[in-house]
Amino acid sequence: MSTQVQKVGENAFKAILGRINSLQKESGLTLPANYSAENAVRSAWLVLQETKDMSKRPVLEVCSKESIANALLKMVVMGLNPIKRQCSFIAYGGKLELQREYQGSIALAKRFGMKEVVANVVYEGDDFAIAIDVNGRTKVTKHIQSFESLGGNILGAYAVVTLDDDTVNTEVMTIEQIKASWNQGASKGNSPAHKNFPDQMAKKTVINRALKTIINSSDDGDLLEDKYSEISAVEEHVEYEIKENANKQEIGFEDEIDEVEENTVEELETKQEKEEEIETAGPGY
Amino acid sequence: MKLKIIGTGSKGNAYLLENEEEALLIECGVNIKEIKKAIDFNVSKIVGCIVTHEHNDHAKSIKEVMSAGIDVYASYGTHGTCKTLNKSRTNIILEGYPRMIGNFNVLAFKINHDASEPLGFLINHRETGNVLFLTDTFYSNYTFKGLNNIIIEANYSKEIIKEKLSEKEFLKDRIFQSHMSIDTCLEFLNANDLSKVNNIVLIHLSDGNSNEVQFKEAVENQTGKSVYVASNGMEIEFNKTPF
Repeated sequence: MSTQVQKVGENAFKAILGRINSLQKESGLTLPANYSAENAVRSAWLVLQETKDMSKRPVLEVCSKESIANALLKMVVMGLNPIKRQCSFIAYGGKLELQREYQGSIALAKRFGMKEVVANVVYEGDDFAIAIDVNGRTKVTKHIQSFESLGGNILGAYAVVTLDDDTVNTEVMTIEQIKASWNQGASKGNSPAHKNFPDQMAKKTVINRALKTIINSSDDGDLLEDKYSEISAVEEHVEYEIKENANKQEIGFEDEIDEVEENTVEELETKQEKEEEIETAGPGY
Repeated sequence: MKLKIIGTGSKGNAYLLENEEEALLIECGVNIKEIKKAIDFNVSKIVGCIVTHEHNDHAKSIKEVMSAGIDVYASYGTHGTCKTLNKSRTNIILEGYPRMIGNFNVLAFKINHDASEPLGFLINHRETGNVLFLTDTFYSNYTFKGLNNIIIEANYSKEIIKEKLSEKEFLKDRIFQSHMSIDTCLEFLNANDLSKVNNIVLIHLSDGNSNEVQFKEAVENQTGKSVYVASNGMEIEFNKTPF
C-alpha cells in the first residue's frame, strides 16, 4: 500500500470521527450504549487496509471517499464492529458498502430486545410438526430427532426467537428456501463451509432471517435495511469495469505497418497497394 | 470478398473470408466436414485459420484443421490449452504484432473472456479494408482506426437474461463476465469512427437470451449501416464499399 493511500486514510479517519462528534452534538445522534465509535472506526481502518475489491485492488484506492465515510457512519450508527466480525466491507462498483454479518445481526437483535435465539436442523426421518396459532404465529409443536438421523439429509431448519417480554417467534425454512438464500451470496452456496457444514450454515441462514424481522421492525429499521441481497455483486462489478476500461485506447495497423512489410515476402506490389489505400482510406487507416 | 458464416453461436463458430483466390478461416468450432463443404472441398485455398480462444465452440476441430494442412494462428495460451503447441502447423500470434497470412494482414489484441489468453482480430485485406472480428468478450478495451467492416458479438440483452435466468445466478454471472450484451455492443459502435463502415454483422447471439429482430433494429437505428444477424449458411458480400 502506498503512503499516499495511508495518508488519505488517516485524514478520512479524522474526518469521519469529527463528523460523528458533530452529529452527536448538533443533531442529537445517539449511539448504542457501551459502544465506542472511536474503537470501531479505528478497527475498521485496520480492516480496510487489507480489504480488496474483486479485481484485487485495495478498496481504499478504488472506492470514493464519500462512500467510505458513509459506510463507516452506517457502521457507527448501527453500533457494529468489524473486528468482532459483526460487519464487513465490500466494494461494489467503486463504492464501499457496509454489510452486516451474522454476529452483527445477533448483536443488534439483542440490543432491540431479543433474549435468546435457538436454531435446529430438521433431518429426514425426524418427527417434526408445525402449527399456526390464533395470532398467526408459527409454532413447532413436535420435533423428535434420533441420533442416527443427525448429519443425514437436511429437509429444513427453524429458529426460535425469545424476546424480553417472553414473546416467542419461530421462523421455519425448507432446504429449498435456504439454498435459494445461499444463492444470493457471493459463493452461491459452494464455499467449503456450505459444502462441509451445511447444518451449521442452514442454522445461520434461518437465524439471520428470524433476526431480520426484529432488526428491521425496530425504530431505526430504515437505517439498517439490507439492500445487498438484491444487488448482484458481479453485475455491479461488470458495469464498473466496463465504465472504467471500455473503448479507451485506439489501435490499428498504421503504427506497425513498416515492420510488417520488412518481414513479408510480398514486395513492391503490396507496398504500392498499401500506399494507394492510405490515400483512399484517409488518415485513419 | 465474401463472408461465409459456417456456424455462429454457442453451438459452434466458423467464418470464412473468401474471394476467387484465397480464403481466411476465422474460428474452427464446427465439424471439419462443414468447413470443407463450405469451401467446396478446395481446402488448399485456405491460407490460414485464426482462432480467438480454446473453447469448444471456437476451436473444436483445431487438430483436424491442422491435419488438413492449414496453418493455425492463435495465442500461446490457446495453443497450450488445445495441446497444439508442437504441431508443424502451429503459429503463435502475439498481440500488437501484425502477421501476414496470405494477403490478409492480421493484428491480434487482447479481449476479456474466461479463457487462456483470448484474442480479437483486426484483419486487413485490399478488398475488405479493415475488418474487425470481436467476440466472446464482455467489453472491448480498444477502439479501432479506419474500420470498413465489423463482425461483432451481441450475445444477450440484460432484460431478457434477468427474466430467463433469474434462478440461475451462476450462469447469469458467467455470461455477464464473458460475453457482450447488446448495450455494450452499441456503446462500442458509438465509440468508434464508423464513417467508412460498410457492413456490421452481429454474431454469437445467445439462443435463449437474445432477440434477433430487436438487436438488428437497435444497431441499424444507431448506426444507419447495413446490419446482418449472422445465421448458419449465410453469405454476405464483404467489401470496402457496397459497389
